[in-house]
Amino acid sequence: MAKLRGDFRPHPQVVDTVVDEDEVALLHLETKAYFSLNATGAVVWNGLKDGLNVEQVADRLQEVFDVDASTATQSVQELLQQLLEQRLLERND
Amino acid sequence: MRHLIACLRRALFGSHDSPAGDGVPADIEWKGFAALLKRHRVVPLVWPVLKPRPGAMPADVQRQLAQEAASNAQQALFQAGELSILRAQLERHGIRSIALKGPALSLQAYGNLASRDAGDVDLWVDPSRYDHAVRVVLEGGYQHANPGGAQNRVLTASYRQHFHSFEFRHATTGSLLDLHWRCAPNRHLFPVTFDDLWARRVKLSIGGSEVATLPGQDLILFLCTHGARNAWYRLKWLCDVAVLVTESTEDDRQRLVKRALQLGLERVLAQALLLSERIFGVTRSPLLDPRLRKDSQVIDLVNTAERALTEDARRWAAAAPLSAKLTKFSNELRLRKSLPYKLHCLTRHLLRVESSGIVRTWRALLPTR
Repeated sequence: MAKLRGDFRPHPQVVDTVVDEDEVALLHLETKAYFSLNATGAVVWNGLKDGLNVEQVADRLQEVFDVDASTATQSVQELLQQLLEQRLLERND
Repeated sequence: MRHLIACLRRALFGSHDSPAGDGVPADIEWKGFAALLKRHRVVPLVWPVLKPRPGAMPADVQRQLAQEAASNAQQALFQAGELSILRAQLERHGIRSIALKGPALSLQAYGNLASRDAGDVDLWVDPSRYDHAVRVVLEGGYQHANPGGAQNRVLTASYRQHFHSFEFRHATTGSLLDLHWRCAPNRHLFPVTFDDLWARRVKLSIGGSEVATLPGQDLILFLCTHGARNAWYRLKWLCDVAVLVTESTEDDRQRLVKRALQLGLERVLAQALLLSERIFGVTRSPLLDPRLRKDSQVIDLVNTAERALTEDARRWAAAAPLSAKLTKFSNELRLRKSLPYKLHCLTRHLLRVESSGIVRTWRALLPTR
């Protein structure tokens, strides 16, 4: 699987909401894809909303959850892949 | 009730210097407590306060509350989506719309879609284009829900005179939509025109589109009229107002009082502020005229609301039992001093215009086509 790099942003047709303080739920208005993110996923999602690139999001994950760089990068890559498949994210060109 | 209020205080004002709640004792009757949260439609607000103490409540109650909060989040997102789609559909036909309550209010008051109990979508459309708006929502897959079935002109005219919205249900998704031609059943209760509010609308970004909603002071006053005409029987409504007022600047609060006087809504605002003081212990508003604090009508309104909070919710719902109708009428009558307002109340009461009662009467007389 090719490594995703660069900037991504939430698809404009996605609405999100915080659930239980540390989780996030997402809905794509057109496809109706509904996605629930746990606390780790929520940090990734909020990082992307804040305009961080993939590498910066992995750094934030490391800071928040005190995990090593490779675990953080792998988690971010896996989640990005899923979010892109569901069209919940788009590349920020 | 005391414990519920403590939880709400923590949820609403925990991050401020307002009094923090004192928690819920472990020996509370949890099923009853969960039912109380539901009765007041505050599960999404209270669950984040209770969640960090999972061992404190029985596992089944914990599961139930977690499930209700999650399902509310999903519902809130779908409603936000529905609101965005409806607004766009109406706009394509050149029909202006303003979102009332629902997802827009959740964002304005709590900054988060899922923090407020998701009921239905309320849209106020340009009243001069109302019939066209109805055709647009019907084409979009909605069907008449209340009043249900086919309409005729007489029925519609009567409904338009005594009510403020038609309710629709989407044929496939089941989503509920209240399409308003005005803000309240009594046209004199909130005397602000659509055009006036449209000119001062606030825009929120939801799902990549801009949704128009009510501006600051008008939003709070609209919510006060909505709560007041229902005697504030659900804490959810009071939470919205308390949080919006608490987070306003001092200048905004001054403007709020001024606007209330301008619209003749001083009793309604005083009731909401005094009730918030009594229930949540939020700071006394120095802006409230001391005469209003002593006004017997305002005191009666606050006392009625305090009773309504603990009474069976069915007494205050749209189809209240006959025994409760007089109390509701008397409450409604006190909200404004204006004579046209009181006359409209009286007409509605004499005609027994409650829920779709008048519709049933008209149906009996006039078969729908």
